[in-house]
Amino acid sequence: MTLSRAVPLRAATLVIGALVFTFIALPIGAILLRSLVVAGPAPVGALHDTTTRALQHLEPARRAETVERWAAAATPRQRMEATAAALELNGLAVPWDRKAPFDDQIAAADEALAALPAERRAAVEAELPIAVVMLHKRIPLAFQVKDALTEAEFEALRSGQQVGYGLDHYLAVIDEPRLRSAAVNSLTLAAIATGVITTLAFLLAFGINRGGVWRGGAARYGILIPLVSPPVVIATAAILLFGRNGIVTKSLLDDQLGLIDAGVANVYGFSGVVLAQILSYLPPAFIILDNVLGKQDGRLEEAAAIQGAGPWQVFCQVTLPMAQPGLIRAATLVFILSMTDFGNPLVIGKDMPVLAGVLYDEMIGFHNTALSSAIAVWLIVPALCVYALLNRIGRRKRFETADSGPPLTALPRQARAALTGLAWSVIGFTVVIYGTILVGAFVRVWGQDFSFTPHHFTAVDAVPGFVSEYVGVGPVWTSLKIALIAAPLGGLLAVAIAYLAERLRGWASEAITFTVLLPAILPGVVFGIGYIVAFNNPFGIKALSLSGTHAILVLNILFGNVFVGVLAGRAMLCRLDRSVDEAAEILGASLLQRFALITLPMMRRAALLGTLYVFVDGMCTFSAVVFLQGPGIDLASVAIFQTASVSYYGIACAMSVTILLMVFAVMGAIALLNRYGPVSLRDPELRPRAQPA
Amino acid sequence: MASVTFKDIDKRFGSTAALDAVSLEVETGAFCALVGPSGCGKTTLLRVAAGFLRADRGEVCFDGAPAGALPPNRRDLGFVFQSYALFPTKTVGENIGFSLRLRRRPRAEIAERVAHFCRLMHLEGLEARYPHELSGGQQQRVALARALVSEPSVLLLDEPLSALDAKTRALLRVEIRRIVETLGVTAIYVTHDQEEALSISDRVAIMNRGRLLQVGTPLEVYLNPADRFVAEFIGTTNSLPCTLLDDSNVRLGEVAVAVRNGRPGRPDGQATLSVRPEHVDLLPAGNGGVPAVLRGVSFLGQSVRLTMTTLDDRALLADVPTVEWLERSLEPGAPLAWRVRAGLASVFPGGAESGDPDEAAR
Repeated sequence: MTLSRAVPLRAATLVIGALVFTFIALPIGAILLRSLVVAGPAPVGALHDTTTRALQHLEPARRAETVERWAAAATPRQRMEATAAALELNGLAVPWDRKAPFDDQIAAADEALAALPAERRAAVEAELPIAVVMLHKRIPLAFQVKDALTEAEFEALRSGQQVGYGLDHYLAVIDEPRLRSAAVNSLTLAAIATGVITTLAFLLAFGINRGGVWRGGAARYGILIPLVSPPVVIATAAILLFGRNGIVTKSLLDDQLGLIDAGVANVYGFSGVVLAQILSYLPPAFIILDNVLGKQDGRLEEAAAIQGAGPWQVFCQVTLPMAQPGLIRAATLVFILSMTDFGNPLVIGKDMPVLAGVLYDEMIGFHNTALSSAIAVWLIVPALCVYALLNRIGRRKRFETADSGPPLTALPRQARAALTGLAWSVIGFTVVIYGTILVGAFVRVWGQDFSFTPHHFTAVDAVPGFVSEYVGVGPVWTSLKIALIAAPLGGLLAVAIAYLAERLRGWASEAITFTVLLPAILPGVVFGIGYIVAFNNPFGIKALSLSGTHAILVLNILFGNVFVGVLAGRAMLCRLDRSVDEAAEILGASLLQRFALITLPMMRRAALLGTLYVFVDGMCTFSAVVFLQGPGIDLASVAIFQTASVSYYGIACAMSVTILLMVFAVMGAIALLNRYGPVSLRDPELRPRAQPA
Repeated sequence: MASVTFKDIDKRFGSTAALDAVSLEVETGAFCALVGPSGCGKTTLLRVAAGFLRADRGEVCFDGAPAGALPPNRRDLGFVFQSYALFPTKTVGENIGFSLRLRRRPRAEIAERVAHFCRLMHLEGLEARYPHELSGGQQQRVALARALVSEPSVLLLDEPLSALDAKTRALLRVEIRRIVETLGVTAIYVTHDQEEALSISDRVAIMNRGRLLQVGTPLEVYLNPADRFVAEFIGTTNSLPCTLLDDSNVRLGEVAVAVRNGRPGRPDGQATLSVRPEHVDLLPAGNGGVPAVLRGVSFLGQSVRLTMTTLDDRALLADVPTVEWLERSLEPGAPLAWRVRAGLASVFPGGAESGDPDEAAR
């Protein structure tokens, strides 16, 4: 490659690489680093040094006088503690019981001092005043010399703490009963959700790809509906249906039939979380398995059948083993999603703490970033173990077969009936969920007053006297604004990254691609906390801080989802002819012209997909942005979660409905543009073919 | 119009030498075909000329001036790709006019030149079509027009016809030659098809394993191949073991055969006689010549190809014009004899084993 040709490419790579590193790798690295930060009481030696250094900043005349005054003002107990510290400073053991009552200790301290040889005693007594200051007058001293200290020095002096590195926060999850029981709950929940969802997703994907489901094409779309779901929408609907005031549990079974007591028998708890997670995480697992099963070589199954295998044998001996890599990927994905989900457990789990919920509390309630970071890392460790384990069982099998589509032989009649029933039950339940949300958005108080009101959507209180943090669907407009900024940037950036990675090849391209994919496997929680840690006070420069800005939300949403467009773009570029780019180059197009005039139009579909994905996620995601949303910025997804978790479902439903309307409107507009828009904007592959001459 | 000179070019990919000290001169206005088996380095040489690749050693010169690190678009080149590489989101007209648009030529001039080239390439009426709405042959015409519209001095063609069917290929071959002659542009044409190379070009350069083996007119390389590889790669040939008697005579089995261009070598040395099927002259058995037995006959149209065995079961192919064959009509198993027609055979040093050109290429 000639030098002059490579320069623009190198420069572009450098820019893209810097962006990707700063906004993806840096936050993830920061979270790992922060999780290791342990603060503890500083040892006396360190404290002594810190204090002595701080005293140097006092005027020499005042210095001696101040120390003397502080030492003289010490109470007997403070003197005793200072004596103990002074002994330690001189390398002597404290000869009395430090846990004894203070009066006994005070007497023992005087005795110990008296018992020392004169020389030693003088040395210890010389340290006494400074020991008093460092133990008891540290804070006044810190404020007196604040201007002369760096922020870290001031903080060390004020708190008397020393910052070190250790695994303490990681060990806390094992040692502390509160965290341990939450961890056990999380693992149990994830194991059950993974088992149920993977099985269900496989059956549905199998049924649809083998013609076992009536109207399989429509069923595929039906199953995918919950991909576009505002947060906790399913948990909210489940509560509205089966909660204490649920329309099924309370209104029907309790009030009408008197079969149960809705106050006791309701969806709250473990089973509710499982139910909500099943519906939420079925679509992503289904996509993976649908892809795998759709690409299987159907002739293999036909070959097995001709050799004399029955349908059940074909399924167990051929279909299932072939789908194994997909099953592993789907299971790992669901495990991660379930482990890191705190929305559903907080809304519907009630008295069952999970690790992700603890993380949320620690972060939002106590700003304990170090512990939160460690928990965030813990959350993905089991999933990686599961992945490694499953792969070991499968011995990393990879199957390459011809892509000939599914077989034409029909499944047995009973199997078709069962699969059809299963698929359409899932879809039916999904429709009921979304219907419930729609109704919930328009009734005054669910379970008590089912009269119609439009006021959940307006700035008027729907229920007089019911005070909520949120009134109306205002936050949706904030979300829309953020998503509309992030989405086109994301689509464009995705195609640019894909183009560079494909043109460049080599280690730089590998590194960029790998980094871009990280947010795909790391949960939103990790990515969100990473942004706080990395950009609150980046490199110690306060002016660069992004905390609480709109920008940090846009960046987080953009870089957290850019991988979808990159993957689509790379897949597309692989199929495209590399010489098209060379043709443009030799005809005189610069790198930028090639990208704008040739590549971007060719990859419009990938760019649109990337844009759409960023947009949908920007409207719906909350696991990352909940930690990033600053004062004065209310995002709809966070507002939905917060209103739902305080049982104010009307607003949550109204905002969910508004989000759904917007997302479907945008998706519809893109589809219409592709079909009926100006020719130059349409997808060339969808363009009607002219009659060849 | 410019001459292209490759001076002592080396190019390595990892441990394999793609180009090994290749020197080649293509004169102004010449049509030169680079031909060789796949992997021989011919496309690499073309890409070095285009500036897509930089040679490890050596220099490409245009009109004697070294191109150095000049980027592809500053070399005044047209390039036609095997895959056409048309811009799928642009119409035929936009594709052809692309380079003019980049140069910010006036709209009217672009339209005029695009129309001119559409006429030249028989693409009238297709300007508004998209590439996927054209046949393969039409797409390659568009690619050719696009490469030529800015009137480059040199046109580089990388297997431009290999994705087309045989009939379109033959048709377009003639047309490419016509256009290149009309515009007077210097052309370098890469192909693996020796028949195509012979029919289209006025110079043929044969390459194998990164080395340039022979450069000459099509007739020269066909009748007077520089080595056994060239003889076997260009056209069809019979390679038979022989013993060198002197400069113009070899011994085949018991029979001495006159050859026009024997290579000087050690008399009594082992050598290989290379004779093309149409230069095998058949004689009735027992009338002198080398004895042979007829094994099979296949009819090719204007000629008949005979498969024979000679010299202890070595295969020998002979082409006989159909009209001549009608007078003989022998059955398989019939004894025959043969000789080299008018001395039209080449002799190369070394034995006749492993005479498969594909194997030689490996």
